Amino acid sequence: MSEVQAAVRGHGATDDIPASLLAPPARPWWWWLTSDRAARYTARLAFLVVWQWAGSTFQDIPAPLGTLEFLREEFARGEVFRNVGISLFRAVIGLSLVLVLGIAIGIAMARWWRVRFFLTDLILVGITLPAFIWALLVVMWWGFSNIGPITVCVVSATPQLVVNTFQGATATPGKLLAMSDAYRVGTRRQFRWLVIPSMMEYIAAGFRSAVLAGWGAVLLVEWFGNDKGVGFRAHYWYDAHSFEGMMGWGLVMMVIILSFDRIVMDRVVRHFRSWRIGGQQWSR
Amino acid sequence: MARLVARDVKKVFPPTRQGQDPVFALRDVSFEAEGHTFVTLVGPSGCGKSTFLNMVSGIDTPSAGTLEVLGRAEGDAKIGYVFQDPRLLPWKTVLDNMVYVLDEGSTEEREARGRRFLDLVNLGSTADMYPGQLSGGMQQRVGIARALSIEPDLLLMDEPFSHLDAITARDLRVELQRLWLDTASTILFVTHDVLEAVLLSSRVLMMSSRGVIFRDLTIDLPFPRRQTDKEVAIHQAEILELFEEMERPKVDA
Repeated sequence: MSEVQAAVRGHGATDDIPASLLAPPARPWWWWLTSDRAARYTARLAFLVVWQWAGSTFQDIPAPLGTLEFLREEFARGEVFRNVGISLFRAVIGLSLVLVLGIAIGIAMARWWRVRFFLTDLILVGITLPAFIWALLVVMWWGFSNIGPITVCVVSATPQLVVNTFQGATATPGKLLAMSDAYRVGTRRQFRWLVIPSMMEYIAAGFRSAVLAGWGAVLLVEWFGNDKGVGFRAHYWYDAHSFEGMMGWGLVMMVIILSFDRIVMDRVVRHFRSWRIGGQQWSR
Repeated sequence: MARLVARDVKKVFPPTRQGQDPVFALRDVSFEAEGHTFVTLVGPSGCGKSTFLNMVSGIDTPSAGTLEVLGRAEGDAKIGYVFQDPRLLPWKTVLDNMVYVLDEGSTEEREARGRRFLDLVNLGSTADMYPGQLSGGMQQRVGIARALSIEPDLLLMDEPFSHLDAITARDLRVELQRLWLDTASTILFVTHDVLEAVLLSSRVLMMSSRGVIFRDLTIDLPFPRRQTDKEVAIHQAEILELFEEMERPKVDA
């Protein structure tokens, strides 16, 4: 090997590179003010300030401190845990059904064209008929029960997952399927190693929006016709003309959905994307 | 080692709409190949070379004629396939991609075999990486290791180096010769690159754009060969001349 080649191939040839390129950049003390985290916290702080200002200026707007005080009282009465528990129970049952039905229907629609054309219009009805119409219908059909909220949750959230699963199932790379056939890979392994993973990203994204739709549906039915649950409790304080009560329960709804999205769905989606090395960098 | 017999193989893609003509991808392909041999189908793009490989692998079926692949043992011959693109599962690690096509033995045994064949193409250190972290040339080497790992009777290769840069492709051609000399496989290789055909093959089947084999040549040069060997260049020129001769009447008319 010539000397030039040795220098190119060797690993010790970094002497003439400035040290600043080999170490992470030094940051001034104020760097975090320009960071993404600063952007988020600034928005939150600004929201709180505006909220407090609006609350103390206009009589009809509940202020943050009053809302917190109300929530403390609701906690003391035991209403928060009881109603949140009931709503969560309904949402979990409903969304579990959504998960099973959505994936099964989505795959079936991609696999058999007859199923696809048979179900397309029905899915469209699920997507386009507003949840509050469903909510009123189920109240008339079943009255105050668990069946109503669960049904509307399934009806309004399943189509979202079906559409995404269908897209994922049709996006399974044909070339990889042909490779698997050439190597005589068994159907079960093809399904587990190739078809399902190629769909997972779509399913996770679809379930994420299904959770939002399903949770909203449960609350809506509880609002219109139920005697338990977060939605019912918000309606109760609406009837009592309590702005703090409405706002307080609104906050509870938000905290629940945000925690689920951040703690569970965010991780699930990221897990199924982990093989896309560097794929998230563009969003910084 | 395998025995491959193709007799009057034809492939027609029927029209999909009214007013469309059927596409004759292969008009008549007949040849036999057997033992530790490296056979290359060379011809212009669209002459049906890849279609033929797909039929040998069982992904596709002939419209007429017979195709037989016999292996060492009773039953189906084991067929490895290296495609134009690497065709690795992007969400599985390199090692899992190896294990994916292996059938026999426990998980540990299959992993050990996968590692052994990755070592063979000098990629043992990438076992836990994802395909997206490897260069195009490395991914293609994983594809080759995967094909070899099933210890195929017949190894099909469909222009495996055509997507790579010239230097990587040259290195891989050298590596492929070494691997073929070390194994007992019959290789059926497809390319439109005459130099590649001469460099690698013991036998070259020349295909015309009409989907027929019009010449069957033996390349009697010692292995391993190098791109810079004079004899290789001479054979390359001869084959190019044959292609020109075959196309001449069409050009004159």
